[in-house]
Amino acid sequence: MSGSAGREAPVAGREAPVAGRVLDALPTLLALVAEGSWVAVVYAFLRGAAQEEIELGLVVFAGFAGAGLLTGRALAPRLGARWPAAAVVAAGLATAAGWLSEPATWSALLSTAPMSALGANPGGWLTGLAFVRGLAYIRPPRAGGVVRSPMPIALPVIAVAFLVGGTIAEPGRSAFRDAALTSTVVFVASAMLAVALGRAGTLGRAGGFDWRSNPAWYGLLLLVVTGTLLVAVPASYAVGPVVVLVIAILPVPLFFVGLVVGFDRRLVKVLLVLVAVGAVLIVIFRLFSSGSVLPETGPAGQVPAQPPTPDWLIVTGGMLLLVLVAVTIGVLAAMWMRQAPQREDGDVAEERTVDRGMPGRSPGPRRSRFRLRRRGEPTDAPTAYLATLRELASDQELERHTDETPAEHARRLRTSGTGGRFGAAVDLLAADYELARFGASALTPGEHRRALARWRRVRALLGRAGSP
Amino acid sequence: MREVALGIALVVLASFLEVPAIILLGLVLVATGAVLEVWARRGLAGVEYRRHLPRQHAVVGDELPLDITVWNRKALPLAWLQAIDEADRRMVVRERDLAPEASGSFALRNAWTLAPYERVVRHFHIVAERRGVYVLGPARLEVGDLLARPAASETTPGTAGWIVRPRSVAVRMVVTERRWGGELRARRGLLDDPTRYAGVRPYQPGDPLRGIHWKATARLGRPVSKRFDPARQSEVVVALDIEKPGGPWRPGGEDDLVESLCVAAASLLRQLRGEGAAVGLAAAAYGGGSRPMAYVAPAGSEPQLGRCLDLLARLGPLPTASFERLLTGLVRTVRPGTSLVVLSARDPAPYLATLRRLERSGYPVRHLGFGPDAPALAARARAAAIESSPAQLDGPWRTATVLVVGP
Repeated sequence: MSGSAGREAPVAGREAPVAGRVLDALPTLLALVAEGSWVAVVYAFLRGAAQEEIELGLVVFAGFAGAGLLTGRALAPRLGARWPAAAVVAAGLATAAGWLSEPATWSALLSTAPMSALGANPGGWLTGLAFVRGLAYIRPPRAGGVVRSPMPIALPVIAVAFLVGGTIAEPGRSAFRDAALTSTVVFVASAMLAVALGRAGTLGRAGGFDWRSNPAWYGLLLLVVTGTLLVAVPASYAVGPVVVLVIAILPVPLFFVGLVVGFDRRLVKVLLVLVAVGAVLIVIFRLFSSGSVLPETGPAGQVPAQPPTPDWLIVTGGMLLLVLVAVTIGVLAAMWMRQAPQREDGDVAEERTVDRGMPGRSPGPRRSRFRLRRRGEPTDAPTAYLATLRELASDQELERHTDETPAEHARRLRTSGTGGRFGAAVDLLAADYELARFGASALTPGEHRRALARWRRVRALLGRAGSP
Repeated sequence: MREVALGIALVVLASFLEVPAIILLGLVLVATGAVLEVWARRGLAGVEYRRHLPRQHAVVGDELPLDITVWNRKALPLAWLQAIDEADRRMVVRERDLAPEASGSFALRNAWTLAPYERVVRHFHIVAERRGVYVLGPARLEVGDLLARPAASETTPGTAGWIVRPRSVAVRMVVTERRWGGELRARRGLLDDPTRYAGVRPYQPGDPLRGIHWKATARLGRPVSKRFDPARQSEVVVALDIEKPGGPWRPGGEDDLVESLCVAAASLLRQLRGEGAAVGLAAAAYGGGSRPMAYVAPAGSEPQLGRCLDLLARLGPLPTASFERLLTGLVRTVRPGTSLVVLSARDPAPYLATLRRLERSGYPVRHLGFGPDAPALAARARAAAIESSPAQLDGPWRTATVLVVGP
């Protein structure tokens, strides 16, 4: 064992007061942000379609989702069976608050036609939706609540909003896309983190572990989520024209390849599918977009029109926020690791070590098969068995006892928990040995080869591959 | 792969529609799909799962340590790794309750979060509450990807097994000590046969002067005593009658009586072995093999008591044949002269004739009436000229400390 960094695993359930509580609540908080974000996309769509200014952001909607959660946690246990009716009333109040937040609504209400106020601020009604979404998280994770992924609902809604949003006339379309892009990025990041941390927390509570004791995992998770978005946001603007170009020109080389090698049924199918997909895409594009399919080209000498670019300040700010969240999680988890109290009686005693298996060497890539044979390495089936015994002798459980025959030893290994991983390898090695030594049978070259392979397999399973 | 395909479709569609936000969603879907694929392919690679039981035998009331080790032998961290070990429903783990599975069986569930190359050892304690043979495993390993979604699973074939033997308590003979076999009870377990000289050994204080090998002592310069092979020991077979008093067993019912009988039989076997007798055991029940009769031939070797206790541990609660048939069959397998100790909790009337026949054939028989009606059962056997005594535990089988034999 090398590189041992033994540490006692802190126990779930009795963490440091502040860091632990914040980390416990983190999946739910992130889920509320995700809920607020996708509702904000819908809001931006409605406001953009109505050519109105987009006033409410994802923070407001996340706040309404949080209000739903707090209301539920406060009232549901007290009201019992009356809670569903109370929830409807509370959601109605939240809806009214969002609806009345627009001055135009008040103007319409105070005018001669107050009923027109109902349609004055359709986006405002969505605060009620955010409030209702928050009610889904009223059961705390410690009490068995599960942070469910908002993606199955939100992703189709966001996709449809952007697809239909392409038909909105300017300047509403640009306003919608700019506002919604930020909300989408935040939604993706917060939903992924919420679901991952929530799932790990739920499983950990049932299975007796705490994700906070695995900084490698949450570090990689934060890195991948942040990295994906850092790459995907700029790429989303660069990939589109490339994909269009590739799909537009792909049938031509395929056609010429077909001419050279002769059309077979598969190539014809590929071409037909490409043509069909292209046709469907063109039809969809014509339906939803007022622009042309191909990138616009100006008159001779003019620079072609550039695709719309995002508001980089907002996107960069969002990314920085994400990085900040990641750093905060890391710091809180580190604090929790330091402050977590020691185990109490009744818990499962646990030892954690980092074990790379070889002193000073990690189990790296497999060596070439054509390496030189080392001294002491087996050359045939009987020596392979004896070499295997030497390997096993280092482990008290696996070594052959003095009162055991080779077959008994192999059987014990096969039926024991620790030796079971070798399968029938030791049995077969023992059988070869007994045949060769006691049965005076001549083994075939193939059997010798297989025996050597079994010896290597046992070594690999013992973690000694490559050792002298 | 569905996520990747959906992501690519979204990217292609959105590229034509010039909607970067949907391209973004498509790229995220492709990325998350790729992450799942990586963990699905590599998640369980290099994962080692081991159970370690330092010993395979326990006695009812013991705690058996069980170490479960997982080792993630690769650079990929695991959000979670879950091991679902199939377990006997009677098994009791002090630190964790067994979880019922959808298939109706029970399982020991464990989950870990594992950093690269991290090895975690969990120390459990198995409480041996009931005798029997227990097996833990095989285990189903499930692993989560970076986003903690289930990514891959596999079943590991290895199992860990252990035997819980019945308790044995002190045996108190209230009646005058009787001989079990054909010879007088000896204080020493093995009797030296002076006609079977087997060498010398260093002299020990207390060795008789007649036992000193003077020539060898003079040659070696230190006192040595003669050593002889042991004489043939008396052989005793305990015949255990697990039939219920007054009728057939109901599955799940009257378990305590069977357990009490096993404790009594284990105690008698230990007592007899301690007195130097070669002991054996017979019962009309499954003993772990395919034969309907459980039988260990009498022997005086060191591990013989363990063999008998193991058989008692494996003994099923339901009789597989009549006790009379078992006794009749013993004539074919046991040497004449072997003493039979019959331990029964029911009326001996159905098998008294068989016992008398055995005595006439040269098998000394001693009947031990067991249970609450032990004195009455013993009286009935004595009335039929069978040597008999009542045998009773001084409490429930879990807490009893003495087996009182007679009067």
